[in-house]
Amino acid sequence: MKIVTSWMIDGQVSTILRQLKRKFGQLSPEIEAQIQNLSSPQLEDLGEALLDFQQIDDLTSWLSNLEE
Amino acid sequence: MIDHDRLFKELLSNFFLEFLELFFSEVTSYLDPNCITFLNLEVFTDVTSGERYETDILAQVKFRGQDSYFLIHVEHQSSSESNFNRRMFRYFARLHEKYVLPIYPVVIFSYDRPKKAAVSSYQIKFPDFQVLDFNYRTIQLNRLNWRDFINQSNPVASALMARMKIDSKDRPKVKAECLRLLVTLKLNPAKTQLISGFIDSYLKLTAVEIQAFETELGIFGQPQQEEVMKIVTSWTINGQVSLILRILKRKFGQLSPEIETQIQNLSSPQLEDLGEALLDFQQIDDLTSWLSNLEQ
Repeated sequence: MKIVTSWMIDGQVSTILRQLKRKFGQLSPEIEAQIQNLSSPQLEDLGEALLDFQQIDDLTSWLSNLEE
Repeated sequence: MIDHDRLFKELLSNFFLEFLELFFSEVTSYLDPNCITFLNLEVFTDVTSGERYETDILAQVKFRGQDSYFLIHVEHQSSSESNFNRRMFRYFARLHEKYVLPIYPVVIFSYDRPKKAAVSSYQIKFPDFQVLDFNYRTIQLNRLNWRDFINQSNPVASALMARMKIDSKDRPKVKAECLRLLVTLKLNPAKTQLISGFIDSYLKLTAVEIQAFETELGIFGQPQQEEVMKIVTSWTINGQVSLILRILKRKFGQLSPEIETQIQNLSSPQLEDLGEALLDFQQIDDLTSWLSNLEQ
């Protein structure tokens, strides 16, 4: 069975944050906090989606779409 | 969402003897440890409620030195349910009817509340006489103290401590102690992963608690601290690999098994570097040359 641990999510969060900072420079604390609260499948979706992000707004709208 | 039932089934079926040794060591004195067969799950329909139930774990076991068998039936309950004792009796009656073997019934209760002792019997009586007095073994985790298990050299103890009675201030300490016990057992990687995954599923720490957890690890001394960190890091890598592979497949379609293996063997910092580097990759060759540059 596949177990998702908090340690797996830690690794995914830190990888994604580094990718996003490389793309857009510093992120706001709010955005960082939102990303830290994502589940593992959401983080993997975000990893795919961020390939197409052109600007920081793409990220914020991707995140706000999740909440609906 | 944690799939409690699957986690418990996985734990108990992989470590069945250890489970018995921990809680019912007398049983292990009269069973033949080389003759344990797990039977297919039995599905029952409760005609009154219309619900379907299946048994969690059912093992056929041979009495030591005899040519006769019995069943051990272990049920896991993650919430408190009224009339559960009646359901246990139904399981018992159905199993007894089908297999015509003695049955040793066990329930493991993993809920947080209520704390009061769970019912462990089912009776049918009349004013003038008692027809039935059916009893089953219970393990109610929220009434067990994790400190009593800390020195048990048993993987099931290491896992279940995470779900016992724990003061909230002790959560980081208990997680550290569960993992310390785990590393002393020197299990193979797959078993270590199952137990550590179980521990983490029930003791997810907040940022503040993680600091306290790290302080606890520091008290262990270097070799044990390093062994625990190895487990944590292997999970971190696991998460990073699955993320990076997904991104790379989206970029380049399927990857060759060689490339996948190379990525699975990277360290955690290398995987973070790769995450950043892949943003600039135009073609698969960029990936292979990035990987081959590492090896030099």
